[in-house]
Amino acid sequence: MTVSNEELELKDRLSLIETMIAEGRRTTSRWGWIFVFWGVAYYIAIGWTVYNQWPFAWLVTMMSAWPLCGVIIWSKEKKQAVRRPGTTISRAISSIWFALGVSMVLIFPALGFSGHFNWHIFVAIVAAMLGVANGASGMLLRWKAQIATAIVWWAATVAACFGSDNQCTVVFVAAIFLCQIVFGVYAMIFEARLRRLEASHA
Amino acid sequence: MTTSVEELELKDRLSLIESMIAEGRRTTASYGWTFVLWGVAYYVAIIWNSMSSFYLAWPITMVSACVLMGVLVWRKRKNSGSSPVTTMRRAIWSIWISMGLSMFVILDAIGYSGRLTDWRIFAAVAATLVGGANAASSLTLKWKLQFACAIVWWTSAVISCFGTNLQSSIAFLAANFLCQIVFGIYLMIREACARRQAVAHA
Repeated sequence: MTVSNEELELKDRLSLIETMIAEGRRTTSRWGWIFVFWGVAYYIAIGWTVYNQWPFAWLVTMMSAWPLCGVIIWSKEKKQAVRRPGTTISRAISSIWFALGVSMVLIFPALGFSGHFNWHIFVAIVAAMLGVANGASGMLLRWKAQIATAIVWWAATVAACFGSDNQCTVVFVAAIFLCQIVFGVYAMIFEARLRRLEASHA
Repeated sequence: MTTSVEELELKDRLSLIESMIAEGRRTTASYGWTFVLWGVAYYVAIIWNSMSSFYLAWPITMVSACVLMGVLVWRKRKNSGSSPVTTMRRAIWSIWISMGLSMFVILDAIGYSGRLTDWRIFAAVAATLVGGANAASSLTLKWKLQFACAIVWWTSAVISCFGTNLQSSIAFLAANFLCQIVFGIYLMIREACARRQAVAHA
């Protein structure tokens, strides 16, 4: 293969990678509502626990949120006329979030039912896990806003360990607001803007 | 664009994704020694901690392992020259870097805040995070053996929650042996075989 051919192939490959990154960001934006959805679910669980101290408030809220999220995804997929082909990046992103989901479903009930549940440890683990997923996705998509959410989650991990119970709750609520609600809404706006741009170019 | 051209493009894309997956597996195999390094580091920290109860045994071992790994990676890259960064390689790096950062943040924060009153919580958190990273990486690379490692880590996390201190230690040590040492050695053998084959074909 000549040098110019190699250069061309390299350029093609780079441009494909750039396309994949853009497509990955687009996919994440399309799922922006999930960030908001889970943010609201966390708020309901926190509010419920604070209101009547029922030990199963978290479990019931999370177990209700899972099927509801599944139904919304299913109905959205059903409405979509054309299925977009999966790229390497989108598979990597979905793998990261799937692994996070399974890890959470395993560790929290295990900690709860074995009697090891501690509010500070719980918040620290949730924040650290969301830090992993957002950090990995952000680095992969070269998306500074998502890397920033990972940093907020890691900061929340540290703060949750050192403060009082109330401070821990405040830190958790603030991190959910910034990283789930604000980032989710931002992703939804990003997606809507892209859709408008596409419609105007069509 | 005609259907046949689209089909061709799709085939190209699929073949590129397949080659990326193969390249990602090769990259993971070429870093098989890091699995062994961290497996040995965990053993050193566990033995040091149980023999002397020195509270800095874990942080010192982990930071030393991190520095040693950094030096070895730097030397490896210097000797073999830096190969081009593919999407798959970046995906895998993102997952492991995020997991490393999260583990460093949460385990240090829990330790220094004095909330680590139980070894079982430490083992459960560490096993869940490593399991999550293995799962994300294996799903991205479509690698069943690595996914089996994730399942072993997750099982160890659940055993840590429900078992006694001794059972938790045994589960963690066994998971470490299987998923770090055995899997790492398997990767190193795979890499050596691939290198021998490449030399034979040259």
